[in-house]
Amino acid sequence: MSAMDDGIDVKIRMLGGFLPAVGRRLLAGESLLVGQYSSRSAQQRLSVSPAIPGQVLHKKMQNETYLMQAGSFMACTDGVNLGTVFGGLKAIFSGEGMFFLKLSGVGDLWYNSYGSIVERELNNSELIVDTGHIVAWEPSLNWEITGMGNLMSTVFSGEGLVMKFRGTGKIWLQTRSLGGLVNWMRGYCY
Amino acid sequence: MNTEIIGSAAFQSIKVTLEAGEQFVSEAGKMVRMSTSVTNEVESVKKSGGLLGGLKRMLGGEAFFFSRYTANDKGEVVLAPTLPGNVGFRELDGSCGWYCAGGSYLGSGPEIKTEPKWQGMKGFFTGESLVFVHATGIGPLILDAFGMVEEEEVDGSFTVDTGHVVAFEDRLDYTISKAGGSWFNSMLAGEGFVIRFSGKGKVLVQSHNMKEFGAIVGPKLPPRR
Repeated sequence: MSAMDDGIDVKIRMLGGFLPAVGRRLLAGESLLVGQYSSRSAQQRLSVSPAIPGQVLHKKMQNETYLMQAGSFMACTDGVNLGTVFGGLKAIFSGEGMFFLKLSGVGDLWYNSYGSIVERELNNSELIVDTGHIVAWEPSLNWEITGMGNLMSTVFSGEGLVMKFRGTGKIWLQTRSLGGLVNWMRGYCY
Repeated sequence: MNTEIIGSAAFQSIKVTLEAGEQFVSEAGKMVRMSTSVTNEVESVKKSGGLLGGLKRMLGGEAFFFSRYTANDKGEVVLAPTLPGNVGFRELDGSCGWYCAGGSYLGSGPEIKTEPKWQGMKGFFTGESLVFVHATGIGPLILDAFGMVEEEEVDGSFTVDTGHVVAFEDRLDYTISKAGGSWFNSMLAGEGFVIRFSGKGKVLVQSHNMKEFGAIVGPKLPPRR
């Protein structure tokens, strides 16, 4: 939330309930808390903005399901269900967080990126994406987090972990990665 | 004196054209280029509020020093903010001053008085806007922002996250409070503080929040040696 009229109430909700939220906070440093806004009267304004410079996109959801990197989620309306999916142990090392968001239902969804967003469609094919460039994908796709080659090349290539997608469905990628920005900034940490 | 915003979208800067004898003041360290006919003098802390004033400005996210540009002959000064974002420009007519929050003061005409205003203990918790810079007088006031700026007309009451406030007119009343929910929720969610405005006046809101961006990037950086 960046700004709002006075006739709006805020309630903080923890995805998946209290204990999972606290657990995620302790384990992964991500609480996945959401603010729930409701208006008491008509014509109230609410501004929501992303933390990262980039693009904001809107999707009208009609009962489809998406998996999304937690940092890309911005806001949704009432009818959209928000759940979490554990990314597996390898996700811990991806630097992008251990949990993905599962979004389903009917309503409006807003999500954001670092850089701009590019859509790719797989038609019974494969795509390898750096974990830092993933925004969202359709669950019809098989996905796994894996190293680029063997352990040595994963550690030394600087590519970190990648996600391998297989099958038919859409993937949304972002044109910049936070990991890249951080690596550049490291040179200035003294 | 003539001011012109150059560049577009998130990469704006400002060009100030000075006639012979005219002066302009900016936050120190924001100069991109200037004509050889312009001299730049770093303002002694005494002239701009003393040592305490300088410290207060630093707490508010501003530089400790000001730069004063004097044109010996017609010349130009270009100033740019540090982060990607809009540059705002307001011509003050003396009827109403502005509070600049979160280090948004970039520069001003020589007739504008800038005074750091301590926000009390409440401001202490907000981190980014412990001190507002109160700009009053007649002339141009230049502001910078993180992201895009939107001008909101307040009539009644309006709430803005402290990290998204660029500046607001001093005829508005304001209180600083937590965003909502319980204190426990607020802390856990990392939801910061908000400024609740009331009355009639203008608020400039920026699309991005430096503190939030820093909180995402910072933990990924190696510790300071």
